[in-house]
Amino acid sequence: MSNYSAVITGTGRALGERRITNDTVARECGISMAELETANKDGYTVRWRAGENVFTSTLMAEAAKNALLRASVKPEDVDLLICATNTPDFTAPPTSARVQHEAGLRNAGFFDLNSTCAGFAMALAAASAMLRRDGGMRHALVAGGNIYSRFLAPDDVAGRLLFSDSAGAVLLSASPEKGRGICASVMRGDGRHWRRWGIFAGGGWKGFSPETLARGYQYVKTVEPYEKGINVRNWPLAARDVIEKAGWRPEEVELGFFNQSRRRNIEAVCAGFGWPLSVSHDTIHKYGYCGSGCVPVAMDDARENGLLKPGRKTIILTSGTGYAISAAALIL
Amino acid sequence: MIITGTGRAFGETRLSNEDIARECGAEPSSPVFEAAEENGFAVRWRADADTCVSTLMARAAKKAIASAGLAPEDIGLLICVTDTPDFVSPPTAARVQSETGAHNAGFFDLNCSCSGFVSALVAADSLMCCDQSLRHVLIAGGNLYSRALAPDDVLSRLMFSDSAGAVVLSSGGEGRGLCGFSICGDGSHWWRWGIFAGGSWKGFSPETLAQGFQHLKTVEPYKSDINLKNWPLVAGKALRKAGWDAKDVELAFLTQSRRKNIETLCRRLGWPDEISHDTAGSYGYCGSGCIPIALDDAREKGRLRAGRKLLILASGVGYGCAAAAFTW
Repeated sequence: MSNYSAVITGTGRALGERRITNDTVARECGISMAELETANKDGYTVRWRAGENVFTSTLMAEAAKNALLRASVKPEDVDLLICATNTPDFTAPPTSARVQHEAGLRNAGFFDLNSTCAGFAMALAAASAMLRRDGGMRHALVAGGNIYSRFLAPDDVAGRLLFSDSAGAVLLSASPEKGRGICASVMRGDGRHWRRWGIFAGGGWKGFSPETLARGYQYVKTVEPYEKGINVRNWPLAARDVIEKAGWRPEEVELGFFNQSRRRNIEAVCAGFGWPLSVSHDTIHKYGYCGSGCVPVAMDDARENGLLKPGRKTIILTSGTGYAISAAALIL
Repeated sequence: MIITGTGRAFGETRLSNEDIARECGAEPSSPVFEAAEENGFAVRWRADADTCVSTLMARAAKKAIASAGLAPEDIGLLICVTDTPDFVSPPTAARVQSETGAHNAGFFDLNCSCSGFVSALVAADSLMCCDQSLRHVLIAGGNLYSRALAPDDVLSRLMFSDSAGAVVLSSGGEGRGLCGFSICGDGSHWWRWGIFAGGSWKGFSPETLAQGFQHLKTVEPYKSDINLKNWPLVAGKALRKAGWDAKDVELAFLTQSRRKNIETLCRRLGWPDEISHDTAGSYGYCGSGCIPIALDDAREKGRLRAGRKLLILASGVGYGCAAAAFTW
């Protein structure tokens, strides 16, 4: 183990080119605005859509470049790249290979990490641990992103309301400064839920057969909805554990970056710890739901708004289908 | 952190070179069979229709957990390394966690084609170094390539074996475990070789499928010396970080796609060929499962004794290459 901390030195984001409003979703799905509003229980207002020649790797490379610019770090000084996504460019090779190339990170080893929308906090914890373990690595880039729009059935109103094509990236740098960076992380899951929700085509299970495609498995599909309350139950537990592991008291937390798919999850975790809702830096009204990119996109927005002040105690909590959940406590 | 358990699992059917010749309507004396024999590929295993890569990983994982003398609930983290997952989403690791009964394990998939296992080993070890509550991590690597091969792809059919291997990494073992590592890559090669369908690039469209992108496809072959050039470099970096000389290494676990890569590395580093524990002759080419399967086999044969110095090196398309100096 080296004596280094892994400190966040840069953030970046990239969104699909086109801002899609609710009336566009209604038009595309062939429903009225009244029908759309009935379906839109969570009040989503906007999402972004990538153009035809834009892929998950394109958005991740753009976000990565932005993060490097902010940190004034050259692409060739990055030693490790982790790409968190569950909508990769292809089955093989890893999407990170393409991102490494497009962002010019020619000295970076790379891999993809998939734990659906819970993946980013895991990737951040892994990158931070590898940086600290090695002692010789200078910078690690962690990108999270999705292009969901290509995996949504034409009539999937809920999916089209929710998902935004987007990516965010965070640059971690080895620093001799003590007491900064990731203090603790928690990763948990309940894989018994694996068959409830997914993009089930394209792999060894259902492949590409005509039957698979006729049944729409190339699209995001809810086979059996998750029981309500799974996040409301699990988030406070994961948050409590990561705060305890870090040796903090809950009231010390100054900033939170959460998976933003449903506001009630954020409200539940804030209420449980007596945090004002403003602890959570929410950006869904601007960027839509960004999946694996949720946290880094929100972090980049927070940086722009002057909220990423060194020394601030921050918690990150992401969860996703599988069911997977991950949290990290970090000092900015 | 030391490896306390290993396990392996294969597809249900063993196929000989003659079986492949018959299946593809190819002549067993044709050059492609000669090339396979040169690389030592005599058998490969094929999974049944109901078997997925998660099935093979869960089987290997259960064996590894049992050989470590642990219960599935003792595992705190599960990493599944594959580039032929069960589906696009959720992670295959979710299904493996469920089938293994590792209910207390967080999980994720890691994909860096055939080089992923070493990155997973390094990530697991690093996470354990930073979190003492994480005492046992299970790393499974495996592939089910047979479903991603074109019917007339004789070369790949001779090579790829449906298989998985798993190791349990446990805390403890002062002075043993991971001593140095290097993870490198050159992503400019991303488009040369892949299973390009099923993602945001080419998706599932009729054109994509008509062009055969759902199958493993070589768009433009890799230069034949990419591994010959990179293996010694990456191995050298890992050894230097560990403070070892090449002559300190007692046993090597290497990606087994081409015998020539192994022979060249051995020659460059002044090693006898036997230093590399090769299992391609018995199990075929196991992709992401190569290393853990060979570790399990070496353990069974008594080649792994506490304190032995290993070099573990894996490379794959992308291009990715990673090495670890590891004291057993």
